Amino acid sequence: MKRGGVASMGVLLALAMVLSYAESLVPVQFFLPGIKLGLANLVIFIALYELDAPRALLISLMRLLLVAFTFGSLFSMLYGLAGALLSFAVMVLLKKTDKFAPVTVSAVGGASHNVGQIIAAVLITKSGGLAVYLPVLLVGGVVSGICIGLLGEVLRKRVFAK
Amino acid sequence: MKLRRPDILLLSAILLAAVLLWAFFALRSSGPQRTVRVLCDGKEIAAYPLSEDREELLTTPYGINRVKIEGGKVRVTEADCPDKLCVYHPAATRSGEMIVCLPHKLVVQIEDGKTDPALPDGVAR
Repeated sequence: MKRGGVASMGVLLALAMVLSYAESLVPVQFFLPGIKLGLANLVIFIALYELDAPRALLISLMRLLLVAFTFGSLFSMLYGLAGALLSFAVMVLLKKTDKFAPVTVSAVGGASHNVGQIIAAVLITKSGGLAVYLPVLLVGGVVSGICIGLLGEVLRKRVFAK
Repeated sequence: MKLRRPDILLLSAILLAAVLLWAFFALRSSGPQRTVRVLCDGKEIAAYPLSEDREELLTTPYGINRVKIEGGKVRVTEADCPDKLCVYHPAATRSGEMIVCLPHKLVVQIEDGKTDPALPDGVAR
């Protein structure tokens, strides 16, 4: 299977969907509804580092679309899109500087994912008061981003290293 | 995988931002509580915190007005005045906003808790 070819992209997309679905089955509620690990981002993270940015973005957007049509909703897609796009832009920029470890890139990506969702929520509900959740979501994003980054690094070493 | 200086700096900057934001919101929400004051003929006849839901039937020498506080909004839901302008008035939410029932000489207004309501002001002499 050629790395970055249609077949491998399909496998990664399927993996991202399965991870989203598995996560939606486990009702893990931390201290705020909506804070979750974001396991599907593991695939995006690996695609970003093992393939390239356009491919990672393609997988991310396809996953959002497919998840929304299968077991999500249109609103979850809007929020997810805002989070995914901001997080992706931030991660690509950070990675380009070549100054940060992949775990850091993932952690900041997690934080910006949540910031993107809050921005979308403020725009949709037109209530700036939602910004109160920012501190919690920033920390939550960093924590889940670090988890994803550490997991991703292990997987990269074991699966992708030649 | 090793974290170096830039990594540590960036991550601590985000966590610091979170702490600062949290402190900012915490300070703001503990600020003076807003109250709903009801004046009749320029004299205060009732005052309620805007944060507590309640419904009060106020009787004045001019008639009755029902004031309802719900979810940080206040409105007049019922009145036996002829024009019912106070009832049609949209709910007030911001400090300084007021709902007036002219026939009953009644004013319902939201105030920042900054001024001491015990002190006389321009309205109450």
